[in-house]
Amino acid sequence: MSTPTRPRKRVALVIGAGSVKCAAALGLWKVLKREGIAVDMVVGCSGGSLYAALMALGFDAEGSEALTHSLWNRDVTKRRDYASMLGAFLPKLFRFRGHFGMVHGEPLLNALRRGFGDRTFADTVLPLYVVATELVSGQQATLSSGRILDAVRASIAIPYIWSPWEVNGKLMLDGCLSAPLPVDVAIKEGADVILAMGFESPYPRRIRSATSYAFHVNSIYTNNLFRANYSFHNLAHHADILPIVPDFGEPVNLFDTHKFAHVIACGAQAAEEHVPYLRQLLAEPASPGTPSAATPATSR
Amino acid sequence: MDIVVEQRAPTTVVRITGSVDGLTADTLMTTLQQQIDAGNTRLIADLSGVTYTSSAGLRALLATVKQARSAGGDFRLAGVLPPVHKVLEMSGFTTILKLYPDVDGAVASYPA
Amino acid sequence: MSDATEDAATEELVCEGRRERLGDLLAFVDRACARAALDPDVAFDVRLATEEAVTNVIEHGYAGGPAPGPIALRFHHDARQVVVTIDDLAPPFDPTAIRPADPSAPLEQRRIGGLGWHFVTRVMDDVRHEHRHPRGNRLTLVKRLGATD
Repeated sequence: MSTPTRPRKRVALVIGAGSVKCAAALGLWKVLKREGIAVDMVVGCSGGSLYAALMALGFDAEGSEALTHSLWNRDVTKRRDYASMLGAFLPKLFRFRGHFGMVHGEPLLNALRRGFGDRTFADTVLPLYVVATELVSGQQATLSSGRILDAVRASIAIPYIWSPWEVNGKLMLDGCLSAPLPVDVAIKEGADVILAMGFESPYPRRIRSATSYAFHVNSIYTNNLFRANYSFHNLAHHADILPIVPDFGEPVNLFDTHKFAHVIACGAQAAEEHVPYLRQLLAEPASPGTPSAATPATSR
Repeated sequence: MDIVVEQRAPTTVVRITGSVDGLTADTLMTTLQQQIDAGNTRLIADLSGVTYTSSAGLRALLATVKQARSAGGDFRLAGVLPPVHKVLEMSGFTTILKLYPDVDGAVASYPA
Repeated sequence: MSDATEDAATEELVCEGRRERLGDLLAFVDRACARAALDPDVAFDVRLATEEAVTNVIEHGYAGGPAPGPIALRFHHDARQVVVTIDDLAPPFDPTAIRPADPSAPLEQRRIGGLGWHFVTRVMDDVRHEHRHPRGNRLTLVKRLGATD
């Protein structure tokens, strides 16, 4: 059998967990488009799954930004789910469901409906992988079929805040519990060059409510898992992983939606720094002994 | 440990039986390396006969998957038994390797 | 050089701590597990932890010295637990405290400092290290029986 040749390196864009910060991926997306660098797959986790899905569905950066503003605002988290909380704290009286969330899921679901409707993974123009975590087994779950809305809702089911979401008969929680920056999915799916946009969560200065306490605790283990996984993925990958970690210059918290423009600009800036090296990588042959030089296809 | 190499177009199936450990990992790695060097980069390890593996065995698997992918192919696992699966899972390998219940499924996973 | 003795529930193998003896050490554990009629899952864990731990002594403990020293591998089994003890005469060395030596080295080239040691602590219920006088190390690996995991 002859050595299989590949015309060019397969590029994956991985967008990690990071709530509002994930919008920085739109800045990166703009830079890639401008440079004509094609992406072969997108992988998203938690807040990152929102942008990964929009990109995979063919939205451009501007369209995604506009949609972001309508999807992500305080209305989504304002309504408390008192029934769920009563069930959790007085399980005998109000019957505990096996899980709970302090925030009512309906406004979030309505927002996601506005963005994704009934579109499925089959409707994407780029392969899309959304990472969630199975509640019962704790296993990382990579979702790549069915309704995008379900996958994204599962992937952003922040523990204690939103209740888990059922996909394929299994309850799923936030992907950040198993893979805050799911580079492993791109490795497994055959990517060569991996653009990994990851975020560490800031810790609030004051913890003034049960929800901010829950966020804080989530941030601690997500940050730790992020670092540990990333070092393993680096060792395990055969080619380049480019960590694109925007510097926002200030803490960006869950509801800092007024900072979207700033966040996107920081994402673009972080991407710019990687362009020369990325160009060089893509110009090299895809594999040793494969002569074909890379000609990046025009991005979609 | 015994190794049998079989070509099943478009893949190369390496059937391994016994233990993949500090005693046998080098032999396995050499065999797999030879296949990659010969241009057979679409590799499948049939692990349905492997009852034991240690970190030494995992090092051989990881070195192989990285080489195969660098050469434009892949290295996929078939028929992994529960104890070996446990070791793959503990080390995070299940998240970076493709696993299939049997060899037929693994062969079919490669584009013809 | 090897010397296997057996009493009621404790068996011991003493051999040189070099790679060529890894086969003897593993065969010893396999036989001991078989004689103890351990559940296959328990036997798997005991063999895995022992392989990783003795490999650690061979490749780290004795690596710096002029020649490898001895390894004494003891297997004790009773109704409640399996206890594997590994004694060596290597320089003081505490694997429970080691960190991956070189994070930039490819994983497949790194030694037990990372992955192997992780397995030892994951599959055994108790892992203890002590310095012996006047020199050497003792590593004690405990697997409780009847525990769920």
